[in-house]
Amino acid sequence: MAHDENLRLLELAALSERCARQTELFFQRQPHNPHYCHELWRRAIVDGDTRAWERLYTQYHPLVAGWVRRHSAFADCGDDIHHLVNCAFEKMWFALDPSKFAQFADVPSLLRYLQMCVHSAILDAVRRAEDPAEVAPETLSDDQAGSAPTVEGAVLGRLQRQELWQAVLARLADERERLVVYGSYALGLTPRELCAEYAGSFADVKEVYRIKENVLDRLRRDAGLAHLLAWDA
Amino acid sequence: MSPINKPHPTDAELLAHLDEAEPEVAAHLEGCHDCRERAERLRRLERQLAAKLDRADCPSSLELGEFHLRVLPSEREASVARHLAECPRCRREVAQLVAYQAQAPLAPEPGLLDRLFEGARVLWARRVSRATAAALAPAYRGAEAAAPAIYQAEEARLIIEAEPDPARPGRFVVTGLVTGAEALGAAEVQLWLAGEPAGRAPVGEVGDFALEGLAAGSYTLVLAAPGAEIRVRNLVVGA
Repeated sequence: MAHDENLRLLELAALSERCARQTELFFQRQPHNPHYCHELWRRAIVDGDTRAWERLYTQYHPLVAGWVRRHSAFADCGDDIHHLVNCAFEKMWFALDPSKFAQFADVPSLLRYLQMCVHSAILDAVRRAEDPAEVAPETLSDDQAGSAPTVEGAVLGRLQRQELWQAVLARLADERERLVVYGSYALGLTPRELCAEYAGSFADVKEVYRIKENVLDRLRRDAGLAHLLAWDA
Repeated sequence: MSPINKPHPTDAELLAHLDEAEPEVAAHLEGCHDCRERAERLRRLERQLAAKLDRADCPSSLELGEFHLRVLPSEREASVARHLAECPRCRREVAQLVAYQAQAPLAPEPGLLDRLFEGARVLWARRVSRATAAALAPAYRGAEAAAPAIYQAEEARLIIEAEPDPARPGRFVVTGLVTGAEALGAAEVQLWLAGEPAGRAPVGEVGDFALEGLAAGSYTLVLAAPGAEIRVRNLVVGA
């Protein structure tokens, strides 16, 4: 307890310098004291100290850049290292609050979370590249087209899709219709893949097409959905 | 019987044709303008649904990660688990995360350390030469001053000089000038001796700084700015 109190009395610059030294020892696989770095993380997340966040960013930038380079999807995701490093820190900044911080007892668990944020940032780039709306940009509104991806923008886009999905869901008659629409349009599965993924739900591929036919006819005629989907069909 | 005289294909048959070309349907479409238009409407409808519903119910990549690390709030954990049971794309992404964290160590391999630091915002300055007195701003050019040392980190250059402190016998003053580091923003200089803070001072508008009352020793100097740090190792004072 007294040790914790002493740590909390340290000036930020002193704490940061000690964290940097201990991190270097950690990198060199030598015995090190993790408490300084954990306190720096605590100040950033629990106290909301932006200067502590800046120190953490400086401290861990090289490590995070190394993680980005090692990710198997990095080379093809189309984003540069510094953008992905910033996205990873931004995700951690938004996602961790004081109550969540209590789940991280040590520095390795925090670094493991930051590393997960790297994976998440790269996955977001991959998801954007695979998104049919990106492949066919004419389906985007003017507000969406050409705008740079941000965490807030991604959240907003996801909420809009979830709202639309709930509206479509309310117009489906049963579980098999839900599986067909969900599998076909949310997951991009072909009817043949649908039969394989949800084995036992459909007699054959022709049945999937018949269900599709019924559902598409119903959705196309629905005036409420026409507004949400802005059909041009 | 020519294909045009056959019954018009159903929407289900047209949808199947759009996925995997059906020769009979293709032959019918050749001669039937109405069915070609119907097929085109279905194609557009499917494309729009795919664009607007793509992964509509999938958790964010961050939620999937938190699920894997078991830090997701309990009310979301069950929901994500249910989703994973029926979503092959999310299952694949979680599997990628598991494999990634298994092969990417938290600490870099020792051999990679220098390369990682090179590309980072923690910059280690190199000593490039000793400056001539004329290189210093007039305010720092004393008649009897020893030649200061010059350190370089990317565009930033630090000219540093240590002299006896005239006001305190046995103590020293470190003065310096930073150039080429304007892009880093407002900065301060810190001195560290054996892991302990030994002094700090703001960098002035023209890049100047001064720290007084220092004991002899081998210091680490840190030029700390909001987005980056430049570090000078083994800055000997009082040799």
